[in-house]
Order: sequence, then structure tokens, then C-alpha cells
Amino acid sequence: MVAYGNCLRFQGELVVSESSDTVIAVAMPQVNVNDEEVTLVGWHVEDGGQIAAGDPLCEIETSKSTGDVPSPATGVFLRMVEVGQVVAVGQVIGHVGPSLDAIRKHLDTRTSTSAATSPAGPIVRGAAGATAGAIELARSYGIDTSAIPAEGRVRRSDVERYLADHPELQKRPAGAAQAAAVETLPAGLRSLVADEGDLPDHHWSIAQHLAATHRRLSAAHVAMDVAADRLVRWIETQRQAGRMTGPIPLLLHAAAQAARSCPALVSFRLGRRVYRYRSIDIAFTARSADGRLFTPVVRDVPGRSLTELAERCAALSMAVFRGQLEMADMAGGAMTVSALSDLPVRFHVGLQNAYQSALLTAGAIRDEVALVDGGPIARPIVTLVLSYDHGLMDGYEAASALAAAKTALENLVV
Amino acid sequence: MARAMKLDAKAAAAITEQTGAGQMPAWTSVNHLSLILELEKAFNVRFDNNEIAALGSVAAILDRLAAKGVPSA
Repeated sequence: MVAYGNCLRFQGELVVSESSDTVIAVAMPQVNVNDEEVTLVGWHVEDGGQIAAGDPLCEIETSKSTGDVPSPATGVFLRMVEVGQVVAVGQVIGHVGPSLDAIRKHLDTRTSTSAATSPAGPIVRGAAGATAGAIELARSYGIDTSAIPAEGRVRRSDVERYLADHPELQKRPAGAAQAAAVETLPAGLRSLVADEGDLPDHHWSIAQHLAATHRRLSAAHVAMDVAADRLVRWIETQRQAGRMTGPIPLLLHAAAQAARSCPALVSFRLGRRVYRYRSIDIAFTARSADGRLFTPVVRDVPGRSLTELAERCAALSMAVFRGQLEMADMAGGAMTVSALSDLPVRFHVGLQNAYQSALLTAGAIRDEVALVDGGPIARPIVTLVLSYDHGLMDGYEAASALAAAKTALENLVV
Repeated sequence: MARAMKLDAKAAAAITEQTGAGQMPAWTSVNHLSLILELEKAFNVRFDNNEIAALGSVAAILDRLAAKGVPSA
């Protein structure tokens, strides 16, 4: 159905809606778990121009990088959005068909009930045929997306139009009221604080998406200490052999074992609807040389050896450090792991990324005194924390999943 | 190397061809990435991201630099 050619492959795959034999609606794929919207920065095809399957249709920009969206088919392309427009994930950006007439005829015959022709593929979509951005906005105003008239799936722009037509609904929602309170500096503080200006775009994007994500889930946490003897030995063995690594590959391995025992870790929910990732692809946090945080994704973690995981982590970390991570490298993480191993951190509680419910973190490895055979010995310990969505699983299930991670680390074959 | 690893003069002087990440606590994952960028700048070479993990020793780095046409000192 979809030909990608030389374009970037997105983990979520390009979303197309084939609502007739010949005309294909092209929807914006999700290219980054942190982005529900991207900016269309340029078209590679003229409006009404010819395009071949796999050729780049347009260039897009997320909060973290840029890339191309490939055409799913060969034919004539009719644009639906303008350059510079912010586009919601799942929003239709144009149509490919045999001719402009065929596309226009197709559009004319579509009805508002065409939500039944919702796109295929693992892209995130709401229970009522709405994009995630539309659901988020509608929910913040207490509106059910099913009440919003739209051609096909409800998009964020449909919600905005609906709000414009219904001014009585535009009372500030709870979340917005809270945001307004933050945005307005209390008079009593004005003499006490200095205005440091806006957050950099990258940080602001992360802040917004974390806030949006955490309005959707009920974050809870469970922690366990893990005997790190084998973990330390594996890292030291690698380093002695001249192979650079750290705890992240081991954390990925542990997370994959936890996910196998508890599939809810690689699931997330939008309201009541639950989605589970088909592959255990896991993101890890990495910082660029200029201090920006990224979450590159290691594919098929359970299918890789520790050495392979270490090599892949090093390659992705280098790409992050160079500031050359591709969008495709950040798409589709089913959960995330994070380690603060270079600082004397006992543990840290992570915040889940968008469209994920779980995040596994590790603090620094420390020595603790333990009684072994009646005598005190020092042994390395690391504390793991699993952040999970209490709406998706309970504490016992989360603790069981974390125990599986602990077992995986304590029983490493070194 | 001393700059990437933030080493003092004494520690820097102790580096030999036999030095590797296993003998040098300052050779952390993050400092390793800085080291790669410093090497690329100093020798006008480019390492493939996929070979980064295998460059955890001075000997391995010298081998790779030689393979890229950098003459040994």
C-alpha cells in the first residue's frame, strides 16, 4: 500500500486513508513521541503536480528535527495545507489520485460520516475518530469530539472552529486557568524575581508535551534496590576490552524483560481506549553537546544481545551529541529508560513521554554494606524506579514488572 | 584527550597506548563522546557513529586513525 522510496521511514508508518479505489488521503504521520503537531516548512511537489510513490511530498519540522514525508502512491497531488502551517498528527495534508478531477470528485462526495474510513496503521487516534491534538484541545474545554462536525476525523482545527462558533464554550478550562495563573506573575513577586525571558523552544516543547501527557495519565511510581554486582562486572568487562558502554544497554535489557512480563508497560491509553505497541522498541534519554534532551529509540530490544544494544546505544548517543539525530530514530518508542549514572543520584523519578505509560530509571551505582554469611561486605547497589500509569495497571502489577527487571539484572550472564 | 576528559596535567601525562576506559574512571560515556568530537576536529577525520563503541582504548583509537590515513606520531 505504501512505498517509501528513499524517504525517512517513520515507526508509525505513513498514514493513508484509501476511501476510494483511486484517491488516497495522506495524513501526517507521528514522527516523534513528544510531538502531536509538526510544522510544514515546504512542499516538494507543486499543487496539482505529479508525484511518484516514495518521493518526498513535503518537508516538516518537529520540536527536535526536520525530515520529509514521502508520497504513498504515484499520481497527482492536491495540497490541503499551506507552508508554515502547524499540522496535527493524523491531519490530512493532501490527496494523491489519478487526476485533479478525480480528487475533487472524491472530496465532493465525501460526507461527514466518512469517519468510518479512518486510516489504517498504528498511528495514535482517538476513540471517536479524532486526532490526538483534537482530543487534547476538546477535552481541555470539556467537549466530546463526537459532538464536533468534521469531514472525516475530527482535527484540532475542527475543534478550534467549533469553539469559535460557540463562544459560550470558551470559558477558560481548568487546565487553562491553571496555565493563566502561571503566566501572570503575582504583584507581590515582581520586586523579588528577575524576568529571565522565555524558555528555549526545545525546553518549552518538552514542557508542553510533558504537561499534556500528564493530564492524560495517572502517574505512579515504584522503586526497588538491585544488587549490581553482575551489572558492574559486565560494564567493566566491556570497558577493559576497549568497548565503551554504560548502564543504558543493561537498563534496556531489563526494561524489555519487564515489558515481556507485563505488556501494559508498552501500552498507553487515551481515555478508556488502550493501545499496545506491536514491537518492544525502547527509547533512552541522551543529551546533546549543548545540553538538549533527546529520546532515541532502540528497535527490537528483546532481539538484540547486550553487545548489540551497547553498540546501538553508542551510535545513537553519538548522533545525539553531534545534533544529527534523525526523526526516524526518535519515533515509536514503546517506553523509555533513563540513567543518571555520572552523578551521585540515589534515584530519580521520571515523567512518562507522550503516548507511553512507563519509564524506567536508574540512579548511580553505589556501594552499600550488606551482611553476607554473618559478616559485613560492601556490594554495589542501584535503585530502579518504574513510573507507570495507575489508570492502566495497579501497584502490584507494576511492582511485579519491576521485579522482572531486577531479576534480569541480577541474573546477567557475564 | 585531556580536554575531553577534563584531566589535570599529571593524569594526562599518565596516558599511554595501553590506556583504556577500563583504567581511567574519567573516561565516561559522556566524555567519550566529547573525545570523539575532539579527535575529529584535531585530525580532520570523521568516525562513523557505528564504530564509536569500539573506540574505548588509546590503541583502538590509534588503529582507527591510522586506517583513516592519519600518520602515527
